[in-house]
Amino acid sequence: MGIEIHHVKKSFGSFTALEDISLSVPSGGLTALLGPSGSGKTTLLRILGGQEEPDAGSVHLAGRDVTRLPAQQRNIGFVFQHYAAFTHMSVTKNVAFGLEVRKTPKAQVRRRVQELLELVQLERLGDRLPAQLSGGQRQRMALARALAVDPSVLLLDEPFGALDAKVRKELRDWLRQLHEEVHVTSVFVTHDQEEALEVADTVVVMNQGRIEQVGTPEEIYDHPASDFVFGFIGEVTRFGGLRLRPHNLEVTLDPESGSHPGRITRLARIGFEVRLEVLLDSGPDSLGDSHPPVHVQLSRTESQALDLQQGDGIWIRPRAAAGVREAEILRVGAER
Amino acid sequence: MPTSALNTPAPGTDAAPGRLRSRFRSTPRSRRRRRSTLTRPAGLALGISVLWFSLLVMIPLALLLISSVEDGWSTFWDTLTNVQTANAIRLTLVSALAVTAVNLVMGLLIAWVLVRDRFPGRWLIELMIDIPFALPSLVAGLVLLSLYGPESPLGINVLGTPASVFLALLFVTLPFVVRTVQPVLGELDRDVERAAHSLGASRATTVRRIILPALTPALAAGATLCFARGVGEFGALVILTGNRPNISEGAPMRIQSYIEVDNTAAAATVAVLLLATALAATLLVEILTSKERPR
Repeated sequence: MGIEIHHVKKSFGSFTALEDISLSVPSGGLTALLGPSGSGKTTLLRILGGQEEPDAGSVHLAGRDVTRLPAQQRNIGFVFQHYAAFTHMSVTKNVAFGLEVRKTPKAQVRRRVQELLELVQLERLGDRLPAQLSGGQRQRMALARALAVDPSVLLLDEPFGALDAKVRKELRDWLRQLHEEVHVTSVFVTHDQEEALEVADTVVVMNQGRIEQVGTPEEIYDHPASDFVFGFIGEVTRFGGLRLRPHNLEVTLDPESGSHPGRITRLARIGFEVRLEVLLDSGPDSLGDSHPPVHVQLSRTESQALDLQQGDGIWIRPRAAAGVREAEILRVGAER
Repeated sequence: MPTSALNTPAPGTDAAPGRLRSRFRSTPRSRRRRRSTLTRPAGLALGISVLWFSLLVMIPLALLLISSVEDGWSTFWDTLTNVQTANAIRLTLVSALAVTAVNLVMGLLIAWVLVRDRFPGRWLIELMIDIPFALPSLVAGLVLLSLYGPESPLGINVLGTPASVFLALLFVTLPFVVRTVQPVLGELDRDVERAAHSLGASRATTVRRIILPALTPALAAGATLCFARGVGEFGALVILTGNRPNISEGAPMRIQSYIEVDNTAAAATVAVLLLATALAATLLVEILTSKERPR
């Protein structure tokens, strides 16, 4: 059950949007399709939603072959980035739309709409027009509208993309909670790795029409399957021939084994986090002569303990444990 | 009496263009009342606008109203009950209404094709839509006469029949609905239709429940313009209809005839009636469409 995608291909003219996608999404899960723009994630979602037809391959939703089925008959809920609200209808009417189209008895529609408005915390705003709602409220309305028809699959296209940072954060938490209550198989598209890692229980990383990796957020972050995933999923900096996460670099005031001297050219404090740009003193070793500044992330406590200031001379080295291993894998990958 | 005549038309005529404009934008904001936000330059601009509007529209209109009743109400009444005049007015109103109805359908269809479809020669249609706008309406009459006149290659001759009025109005009002609907249709978010589809709505249901309501203000604006133009059209009728009294003579022709015999009061009476009908239509459409939208 859930969603089964077999060898789906799609091109637009000479542009290959999806190369050969096979993916199995478990029933009841919350899955993120993550990738940069042009990676094919939205095309894949639209194929699931029946808004695009694949050139080849098949799509099964909840055990049913829907490859050639129009959107109307797929029993899906679709949430759009820009809400796609029915602007001339009240919030209540928007949510009721799918049920009314299905000729559900009036009393039942009223009950179900009430239920959903409570679920998305809009029960007091039922008489408003979408234009009288904030962006976050509009997207919650859109979600209620999509859920009203008891879809077998809920598809969300960059659902928080049009919202400002704070509302985005709230809605993310809220979507996670909602999913725990409703448990409908859900797939959402995002280009924001933080969003994917935070909200989803399965992350599908896509790039150039292909799936790079499928895994839990931890697997994706800790064991990236490719150079691309490593680079896309979190920040990366170069330390000589190595690529690693900025927080996997250790800063000391005195030389340690494996460390290199450098100077702090920029120090920025972002809340609890301190970001350094360090220009390494060039040496005869493997680090080479010309190199961009190395980015280092420290906690504020660490930075204060060392009393770091812009212009200070320091020593940096990769931390023991995960960082080094990752870096070595990727060094091989990069030279391939 | 002249004073009351002066007072009555002013608010009505003032309101009509404002309402029309507000419908184009279709925001309720323009109706909100603001009192003391006028800065000095804005006050000056408003003053100039009102003066301009008065000189060009309001005062002439008021004088027209006065002249329609200056020979007394009996002349006013006699003019309207004159059989030939009444027939002309009826023909004009019926034709304008029919043309408006046809244009609502055809205009929507043409706008739809222009906005939603990409095909070779689209630019040509786009250009041709405006020809009725661009042509002097006398020329419009000539153009129609060549195809639907006595020498019609199709064998259809409307000259001197009531159908000629309908046809002439159809031609000159063609662009209105197309041009009011087209931009609104173009701005419609396609995702809204996709959302309706995903909720199980068929194409027909989506058009009826989602697209048409969104287009209603634009359709209403187009219909109003269309009707008003239809009621007032003169040039095309002169050429195409043959002006046969009681059969193919339109109301504007009656105005012309009255002026020719120097019966200004009668001419003004017909003019006032046409004006009142057009304004009433505008108001009616406004009331109907604002009711349709929930608060």
